[in-house]
Amino acid sequence: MIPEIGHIFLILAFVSSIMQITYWTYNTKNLNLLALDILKNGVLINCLFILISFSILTYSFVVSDFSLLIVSNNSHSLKPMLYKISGTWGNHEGSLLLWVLILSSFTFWVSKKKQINNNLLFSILGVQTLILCLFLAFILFTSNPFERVETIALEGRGLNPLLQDPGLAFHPPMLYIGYVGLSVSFSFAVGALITGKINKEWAQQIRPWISISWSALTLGIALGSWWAYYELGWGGWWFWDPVENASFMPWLIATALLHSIRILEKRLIFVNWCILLSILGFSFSLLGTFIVRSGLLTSVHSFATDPSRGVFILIIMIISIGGPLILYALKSSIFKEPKVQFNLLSKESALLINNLFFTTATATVLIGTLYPLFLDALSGAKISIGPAYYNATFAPIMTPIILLMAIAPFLNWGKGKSKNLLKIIALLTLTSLIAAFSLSTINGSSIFAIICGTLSFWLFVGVISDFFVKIKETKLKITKMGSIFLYISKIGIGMNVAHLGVAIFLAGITGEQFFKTEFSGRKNIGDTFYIEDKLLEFKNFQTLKGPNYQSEMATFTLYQNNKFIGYLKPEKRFYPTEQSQTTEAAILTGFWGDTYVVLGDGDNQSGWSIRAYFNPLVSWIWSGAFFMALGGLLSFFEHKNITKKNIRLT
Amino acid sequence: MKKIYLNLSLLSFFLMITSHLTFADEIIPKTNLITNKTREIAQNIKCLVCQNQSIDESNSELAKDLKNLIKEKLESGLNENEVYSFLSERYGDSILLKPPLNTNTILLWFLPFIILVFSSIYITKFFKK
Repeated sequence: MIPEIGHIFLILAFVSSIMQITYWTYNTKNLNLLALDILKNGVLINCLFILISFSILTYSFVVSDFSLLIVSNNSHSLKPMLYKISGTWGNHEGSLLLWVLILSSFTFWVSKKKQINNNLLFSILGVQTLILCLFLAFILFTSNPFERVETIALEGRGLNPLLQDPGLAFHPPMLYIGYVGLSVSFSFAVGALITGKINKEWAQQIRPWISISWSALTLGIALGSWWAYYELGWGGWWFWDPVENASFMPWLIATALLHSIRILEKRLIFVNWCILLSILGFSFSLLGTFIVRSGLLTSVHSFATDPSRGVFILIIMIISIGGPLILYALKSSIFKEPKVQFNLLSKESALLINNLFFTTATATVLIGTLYPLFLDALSGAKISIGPAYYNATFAPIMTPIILLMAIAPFLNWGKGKSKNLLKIIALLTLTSLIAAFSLSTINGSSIFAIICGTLSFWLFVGVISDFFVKIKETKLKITKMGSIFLYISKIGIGMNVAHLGVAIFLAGITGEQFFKTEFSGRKNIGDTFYIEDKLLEFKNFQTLKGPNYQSEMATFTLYQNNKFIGYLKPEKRFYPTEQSQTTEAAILTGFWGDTYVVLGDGDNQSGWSIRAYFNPLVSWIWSGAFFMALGGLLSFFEHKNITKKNIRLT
Repeated sequence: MKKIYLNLSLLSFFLMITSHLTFADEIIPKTNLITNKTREIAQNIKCLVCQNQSIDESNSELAKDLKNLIKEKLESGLNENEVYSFLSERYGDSILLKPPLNTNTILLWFLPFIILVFSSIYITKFFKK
């Protein structure tokens, strides 16, 4: 009975969204305040209905109601509570329901913004509801989460053990907040095309939505990569897998947009370009959602096995990407841009070059992801594209961005001469050369290690100098503690924090990619081995029983310079329900690097095969991503302070 | 002041280059050389039974066999390129994670840079003459 209530509310949300779209289409020409209010209430109703529906689905997972098809396929009564809940979105149907829940929540959030111009808001809410309606139709007609089974199983089939992990429990919601957040900037762009008006306020109002989705996307991707690092058990953290690329492309476009919107806000130029990027950003989100969910890329066949789903996906993509692009082609010429030219050394050109490289980088990832599919379809030739391709194409394209990133904050807008520029470049060059020299003296260094590490250092020095120059320029005295926050928002620290994150991230990559040490071999209880200056002793081996798995666990003692550091306990888990095995790497995380041990096959006669790594600076990769996300979040709040006009700082 | 910077930069650049050269001269034992080469090649060979994993990362039986095969081939005197072409002849081009440059993949390799060049030319129109 209870799941049917969830089902009914989902249908109600669908019906209500259709009604709103009809109402919206009739009222676009002669908008009045009443119509806007009605649409706002409709948005609230959709959001509530979907929330009820989602809560009921979660409840069904919590109580293990195996009469529901997806619960019986993806859950088990013995599973820990966290994974029962995260199981709700650990499958195709449930994840789509989460997607529409986030979409309707975002729409509701936008509807509460009073400063947005009424005409624009009306269009935004209409476009958002249209997307919602398409997705609800997709869910109800092809991927219904509330589908019942005829004969109820006594026990569920369980969730893929690899997904039973805290990192991955929160990875999809974060990623979806990022994907769906980009729908807001998409609707802003389509709204501008419909209303035919664009101004600085438009740019100011769209920016926080880009910042917040960018931050969520950054965190979501970082969580996924962190999970891959500790769960998949071979020490890598990014594999250029099509599924990873699918989430990386919207991120790249969002990054470009985040920068170009600044030019629009300041100079009111590149209007069309920003609109196009906003449309593209969400288009890549849609592509990402469907690539992961339809299995289009991992296997072309699983996509074709359910033709109704595939056709539906194509329809949604055509309406929500093709529609706006046609609208763009027809109406973008109405935005008259002032003919502005600027110095090669100016903020505008730096941001423009940033966009040039970021869009090219996106194109590269897109080519790498889709090329094998097209080649297979056109000529039947099969190729595989691995990290080597991206190292040769993506990495060189990103290098100039890092070089520019350190200098760009010192450039002036327009035609103004940039002060300090020569001094800064001299400082950066000098310190980087010292860094390069020190890097070259490290054992095992290579030319790419030097380049990568030096870039990180170059950026680090640039960010720190910019921070101090800004503080000096404001000539502020901080009198009260409370003013610190205003002060920070005044100097735009969000950008500094995010760029600092990139520097940290690059340092992490340098350590992990170029200075990793590895041990691989067969060891028995009592044996010892070294990785670098660390001594590992195989202490014991035991079998344990977890809540829904059996485990074989080895214990290693780690010593450094004859001093006890800690225990490492790699495991091999067997999940009887799912009939599958996972390896749980043991990781001792330190500031300077991780000691990482994986237990392989073996027995107490011939020993066990052991793989151990020391990954220098590897945790900096995710710390860097965290700083980037934090920077995005800070600039989200910065914006709030700027809009409150009563801020006085002197 | 500027001159001092310049001199210092030149000096450190020089030091950097020379220190790098001394490293390249270090002698590595031959067995180590083969092990390293095997790993290097293994990283670019796709594990056909896994999902988007190289045989270097994989623990599957097939991956282990392939790694041993690469090692044998290297020991018998084949060079890197010969090992790659041996593997692609036996298992097809899709085993190579780094697609070889041929008529099928020419766009794959060059399109990113073509895009970069053309869009760079396009944006120069915004700059003040």
